Amino acid sequence: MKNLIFFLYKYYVFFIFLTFEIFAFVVLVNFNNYQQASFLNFTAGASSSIYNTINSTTGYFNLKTLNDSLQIENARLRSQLLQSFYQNGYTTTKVNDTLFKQQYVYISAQVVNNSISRKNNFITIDKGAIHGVKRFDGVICLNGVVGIVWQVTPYYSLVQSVLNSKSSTGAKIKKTGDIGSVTWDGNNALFAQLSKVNTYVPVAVGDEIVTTAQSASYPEEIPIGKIVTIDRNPEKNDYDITILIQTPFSRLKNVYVVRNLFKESQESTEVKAKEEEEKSGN
Amino acid sequence: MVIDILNFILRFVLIVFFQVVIINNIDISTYVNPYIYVALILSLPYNTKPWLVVVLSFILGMTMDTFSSLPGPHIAATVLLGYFRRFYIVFSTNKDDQDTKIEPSIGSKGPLGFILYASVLVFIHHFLLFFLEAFTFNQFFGTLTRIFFSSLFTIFLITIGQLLFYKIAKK
Repeated sequence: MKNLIFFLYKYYVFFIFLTFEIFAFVVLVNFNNYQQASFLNFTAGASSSIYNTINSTTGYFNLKTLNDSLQIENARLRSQLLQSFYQNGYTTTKVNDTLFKQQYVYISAQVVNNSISRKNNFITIDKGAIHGVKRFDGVICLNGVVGIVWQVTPYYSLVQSVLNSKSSTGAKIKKTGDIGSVTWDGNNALFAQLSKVNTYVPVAVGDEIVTTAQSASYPEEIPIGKIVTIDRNPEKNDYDITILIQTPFSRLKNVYVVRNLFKESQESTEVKAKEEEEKSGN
Repeated sequence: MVIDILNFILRFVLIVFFQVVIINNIDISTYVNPYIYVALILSLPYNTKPWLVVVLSFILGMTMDTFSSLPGPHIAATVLLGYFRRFYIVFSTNKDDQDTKIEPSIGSKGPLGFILYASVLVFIHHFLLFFLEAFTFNQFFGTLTRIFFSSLFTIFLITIGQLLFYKIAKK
């Protein structure tokens, strides 16, 4: 017993060191484990409000370009209004239409903190749970996809950017409709990789890549990028495609969180189908 | 003693502010992510108790993790740096200096000695940090390149900072 105490005393620095290292690894593994985010919930509130203070100061520098882009978008939306269409023919009866049901709700948000040079980039936005943001909602901007909501705190959310080596976005080739998956290898913030496209699909340089509604997080046909290079993958009978990302990640400011109101039902259907498949398999 | 603590807290706030507000927002390339905040641990006086160095490293790493949205890597890397600092000092400094309040700097170690000291420890720190951030051994050499260039920039910036503050201290 005396020896043990002496041993602990002699190497106490090492044991402090070991404790901290184990703590760090446990926290990291838990975070990568998807479900738990206790550390983040604990710290995100503090860091986000500091980032917000910084952001409200630096935000003045690009107000002009921001206004311009908002004005362009307003003009585009205004042109889609009913008033801007000339009525061609007679429509006088008013029908309470049940044919259309709202599927997507958009919540506008500001980017508070953003990085593009890490291997796993995250974006902090200033809308959180009390504004109706939920985990795994999609985030888009004027020009294309941004990412998926990864963590939600009451006033802020953390978005896993497309520029994250762990992100994977369901995508399709706009021209042909064939689906694939967009990932990022962590090397260049301008280019992402499109995989799982079979070799029989006719792809060409310059083809547009857009999102598919199969992912349930994004609406259909939000632009992701354009094909730059195409290589055949000899092992797997598919293509290795590099795409140029359209979203200007380095100067991201205004984004929209997309809430898919049918998401729960879509996912529960898929889960149910999978369970039944497993049952019948046994 | 109280002045030392206040001095440390001031440095802590300044260096964290500098790292988070300025350095983290310079997106040069995915291969260049300097983390100059380790200078705080590097420049602790020689006679700081080893356990205190490790605890301070932990607090610093925790602070950086708070701002980086991926918890863990900064804690692990900075604590490792704080632990290994002692061995490098024992190996590179003579016994008398080790018990004094002198800080490892360009002034006390000489330019070459300081750069070597910073290089070894910064490399250890960045090595663990970038591999934990990647959390995979895929693209092993990509991560190594990233570690190399980031360390280079960190050491460069720390040396410039040393030159700047050493001059001011001398006056």
